[in-house]
Amino acid sequence: MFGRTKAAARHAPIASLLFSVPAVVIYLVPSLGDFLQLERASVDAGEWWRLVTCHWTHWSLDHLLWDTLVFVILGVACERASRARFVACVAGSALACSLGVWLFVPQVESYRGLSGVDSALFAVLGLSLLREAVSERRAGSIAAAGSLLVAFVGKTVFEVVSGTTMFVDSSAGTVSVPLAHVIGAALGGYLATEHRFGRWPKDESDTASTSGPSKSCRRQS
Amino acid sequence: MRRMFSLSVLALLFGLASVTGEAAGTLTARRSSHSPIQLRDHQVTVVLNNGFARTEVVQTFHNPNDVDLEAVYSFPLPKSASLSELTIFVGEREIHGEVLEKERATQIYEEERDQGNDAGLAQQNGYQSFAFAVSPVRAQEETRIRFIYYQPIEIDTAVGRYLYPLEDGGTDEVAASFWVPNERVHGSFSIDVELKSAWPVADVRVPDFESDAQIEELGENHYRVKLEKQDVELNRDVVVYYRLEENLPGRVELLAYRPDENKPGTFMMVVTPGLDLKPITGGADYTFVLDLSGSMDGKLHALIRGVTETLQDMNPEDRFRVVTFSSHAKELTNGWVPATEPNVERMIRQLERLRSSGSTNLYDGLSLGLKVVDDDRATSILLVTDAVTNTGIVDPKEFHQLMSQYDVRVFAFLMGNNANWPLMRTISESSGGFWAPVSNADDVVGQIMLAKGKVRHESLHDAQLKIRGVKVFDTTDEVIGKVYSGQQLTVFGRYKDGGSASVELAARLTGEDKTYTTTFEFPVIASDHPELERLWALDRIETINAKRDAGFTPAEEARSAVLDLALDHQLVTDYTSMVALSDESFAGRGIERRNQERVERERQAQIVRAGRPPQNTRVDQSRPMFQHPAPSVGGQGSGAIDPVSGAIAIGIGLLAAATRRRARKDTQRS
Repeated sequence: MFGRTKAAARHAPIASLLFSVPAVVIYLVPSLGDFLQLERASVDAGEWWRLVTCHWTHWSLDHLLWDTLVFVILGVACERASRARFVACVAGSALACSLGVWLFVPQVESYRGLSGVDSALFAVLGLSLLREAVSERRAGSIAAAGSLLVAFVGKTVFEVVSGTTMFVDSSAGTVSVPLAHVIGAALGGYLATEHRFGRWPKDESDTASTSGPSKSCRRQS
Repeated sequence: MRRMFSLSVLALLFGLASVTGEAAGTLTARRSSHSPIQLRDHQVTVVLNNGFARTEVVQTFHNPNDVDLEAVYSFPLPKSASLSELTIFVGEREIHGEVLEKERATQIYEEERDQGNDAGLAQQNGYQSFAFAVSPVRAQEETRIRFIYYQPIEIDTAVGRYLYPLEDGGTDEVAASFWVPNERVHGSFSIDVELKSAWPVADVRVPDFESDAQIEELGENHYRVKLEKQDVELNRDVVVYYRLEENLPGRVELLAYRPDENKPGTFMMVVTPGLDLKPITGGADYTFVLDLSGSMDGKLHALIRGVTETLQDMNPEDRFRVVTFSSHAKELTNGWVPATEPNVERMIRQLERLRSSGSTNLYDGLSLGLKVVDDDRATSILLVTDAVTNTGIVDPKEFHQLMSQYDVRVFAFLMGNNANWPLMRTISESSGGFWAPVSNADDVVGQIMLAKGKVRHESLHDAQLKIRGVKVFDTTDEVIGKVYSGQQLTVFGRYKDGGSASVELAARLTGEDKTYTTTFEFPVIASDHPELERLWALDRIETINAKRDAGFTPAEEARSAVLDLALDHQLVTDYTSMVALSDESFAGRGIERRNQERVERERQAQIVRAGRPPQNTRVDQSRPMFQHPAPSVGGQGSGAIDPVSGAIAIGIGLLAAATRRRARKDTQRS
């Protein structure tokens, strides 16, 4: 009984949920958003935490809902593959995206949103799935993962070339920062290829909950 | 993009507005025993195209009395508006207006009115309002009038703004003591704005009417905004914003009018600098100088909101002072206060308790604001006022001299219509700052963010714009002074002959000399935009008046110059009015029909332009003047996940779940 509870706890996407809740709380307490958003002048003045915390602040309810919904969906999937690497991906992309905005987009004085981190999670998950499908020669999965990745890359390229986001209603008064998506996607791609992120389905939770080795493990052996 | 009307919400907005302010409307003398003349309908048609706006207003008066009456209609003066046409519809007949010297026009109108003839008069009341008189409006009958005015369109940081002013600023106390306004439209009110942009439009907005305005995309960079309502009060401004896409090139655009190659032409050149202006780091000092006089009553909420936003946006190493003024000035702070969070919060609580009353001693307020200046730090004054200076020193020349003594820039927000913008221009230009009009219907925070973007970025200093190769004359001043991030430079002028010209913008940026140049052709013949002549003349008139206000030009010399320009180009000014009479009356009085000829040319050109898609008038494509894109609204950045990206992400999540399920089954089978 106790063992099953421990296994269930390992299964539960605790980190994804823990990372998501602050976004909602910060949105509900506007003064927190002001304190945590990326604000160029404040970072220059030594408030370095903003480089990481800004991703959990949002400009509007719409902004919060989409960013967090996508984060939860991708986060749960990634965390089940490898919680440690999921956390590393979130932390790394959060820092990298903000540094990119801070260094290379001087006209943006303040920045908010999880979308850069979402892009990193998308890239890491999509590439991991594609790699796995290719290694197992599953045509359907290759087509599905491939087309979703192509759509994602196409959209990102469009954003970079046009300097704007494709479908976002800009009436909120903010400007899009495609660079954050590019940096997130690049970091996610790097993690997926260089570190064989959460090779499917050999993940920590599966090995913990099943008695035998996974299919991939057996192949390797 | 299309948004449907919600009439009930619109009704609520109009209803709320009616409680808070005065408005455009018919005027009835306070001692009159007659029922007020009613407004039966009010229709506004606007075309925003090629750098200027054409506004046509048609409205119907109804006389509910049993005797014939004169109708008097007044509305707030739109900024830089050249009133160019007045037409009165009398049964099947139309009578049109001609501009004459003010006293003569008034005398002729009164004579015609007293003889019972159909007549109309349009006058300008300083910087405050246009007033129209129409006589007679027959007992129990209707009379329709139409008037048209032109204005240059202002685009700031890639955001265009058009204001149709209706809310009275409450600054004309003399008029208020004589007249009872009747602002209700008993029939339909409509405003139809057609936007033809040469550059891609990212967004069109009507603040305060977001859910009520119909915004329709008619074609590429071609939009229509419509608002309609029955039985409303004309007491709420309508502001239309359009935001151009990001990363558009810095550029030079030219419109010219030269129908005869043997005569000089007129041009409007719009320079949109693409400059690499870096954000300013390090602390700076800001003094808020806030108008708390009685005329600010309806605007105080917006003032406090704007100042609060600005205070919250300051850096801890910045410092601030807060000075308020009405009959006298006083300081709410005790010298410079570091903009730390506790200090800012304390000041915001103090601001929330402010109330308006008393007269307006702007000079006193500015003097106190300038008293404590630290030479080692950049200092700016953020002035929020309606500039109705009626106490203490009121002469613009004195303000010019005061500002010239200090190295402090004044960034002024001018609240409401009827505000004294000529004085604000004198103050801000004397200090090297800028001013921005703010309507209660504006996106106040958005306006402040635009201004903040300018204050917090480097600017060009000692800027001068020179045109060589083509002889130009009577231009807007070539010495521009400062150029702030996102600011467009609009230059009106005349040119002798067409041909190749080189244009140079020379300035200093962070101590270095910078020169931006390009070459392009001034057309030998150009007949598309005859309205440019009126816009140029109005620009000249405003420049002459500004020099008079600053004490550079004697008043009589300025009057004479303005009169000549206004009569030549048929513009209603402080010294000229437009009188509408029948053709027979004009002929009988020997009045030349100069406006009729001008209007005919303008109408022909408008018919030709109406059938065309938006035209790009950029002239520096082959040799761009700037290497960087023009600044756009860039204060707040976000990546933003849109529904399509969300769907792609959900797809990959589902695929991951399916893969995982399959893998688990495989594992269990094995």
